[in-house]
Amino acid sequence: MQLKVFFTGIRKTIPLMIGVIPFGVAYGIMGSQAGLTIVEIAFMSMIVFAGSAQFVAVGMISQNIGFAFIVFSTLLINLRHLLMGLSLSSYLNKLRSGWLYILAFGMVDESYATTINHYQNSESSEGNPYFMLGSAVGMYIFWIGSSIAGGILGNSIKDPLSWGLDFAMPATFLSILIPQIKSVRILSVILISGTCTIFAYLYIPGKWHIIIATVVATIAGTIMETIDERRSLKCEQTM
Amino acid sequence: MRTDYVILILLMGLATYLTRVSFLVFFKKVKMPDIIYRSLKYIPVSILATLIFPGIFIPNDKLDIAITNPYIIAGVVTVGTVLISKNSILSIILGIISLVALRTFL
Repeated sequence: MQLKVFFTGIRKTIPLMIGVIPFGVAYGIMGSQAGLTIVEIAFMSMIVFAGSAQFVAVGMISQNIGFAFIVFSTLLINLRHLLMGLSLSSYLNKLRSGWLYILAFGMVDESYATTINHYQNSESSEGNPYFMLGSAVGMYIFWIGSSIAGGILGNSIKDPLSWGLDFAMPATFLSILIPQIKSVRILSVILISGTCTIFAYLYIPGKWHIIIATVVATIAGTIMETIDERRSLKCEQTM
Repeated sequence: MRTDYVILILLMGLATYLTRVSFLVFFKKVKMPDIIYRSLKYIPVSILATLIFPGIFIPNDKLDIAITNPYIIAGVVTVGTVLISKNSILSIILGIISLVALRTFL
């Protein structure tokens, strides 16, 4: 039974597993260009398991930037995970802590998005950890595999991000997001987040655009909800 | 493997893991205030938007909001397909095909 949930987690993540291939290959190529061995490239994917942080790290390694600065950048780039952890915690807080320590390792953008969507659409207020485990294991295998492929291929292939598969990620996230637009308020939150993201992406380095836009849009949504509630309360009182 | 790189990778792994585990475990023990609880449902849609918008409107790190941007057209195809067919796999496939076709023929 739990095995079935585990495989459902994998199945729902397949588009994103395929979508991550060009990014893994690109990371592997960059890593070999930065002078890392295949084993080092694979080891980083196994231990860190965070695409954008790994891209930045190999970029910095090739520019001979100090290791302390690379670790600090990794921390900053990954701060967005705090928000993901916060939003998942309400579905997972009944689980034993051991589960949380395992699931946390596999919480990447793709497994987070797939899992939170699954939990929100399921009737229970508690999330099944096997679903997230499946989603994370699927991403993990494909991320490591494609990193190794990139490291082996090195410079012998054309830019993998031009295959068209780079659109698999936004397309999958769109297919998850669109059905969630059930009110004008949700649509507003999405548009606020998207607009903030574009401005922050263009003017602020790193991954701050995710944190800034998410915080702004989430606060905006909460304020809108509170105002709507007060208004409907007033209407009831005057009637 | 060179020892200094092993140490670098382990420290990067630790930094990443700390960001992933801290709020997940912290909010198991601490009860969140109501206002945070209320705001939680807006986090996933906001994060999804932050992952989607740059991929479509800032391809290759350059802002391109013209209708000739193939990612925008492919995005419209994806959204249209998911709205009409309610089939997410179909919308992803059509989105990718339309992007490849636009890149090839435009």
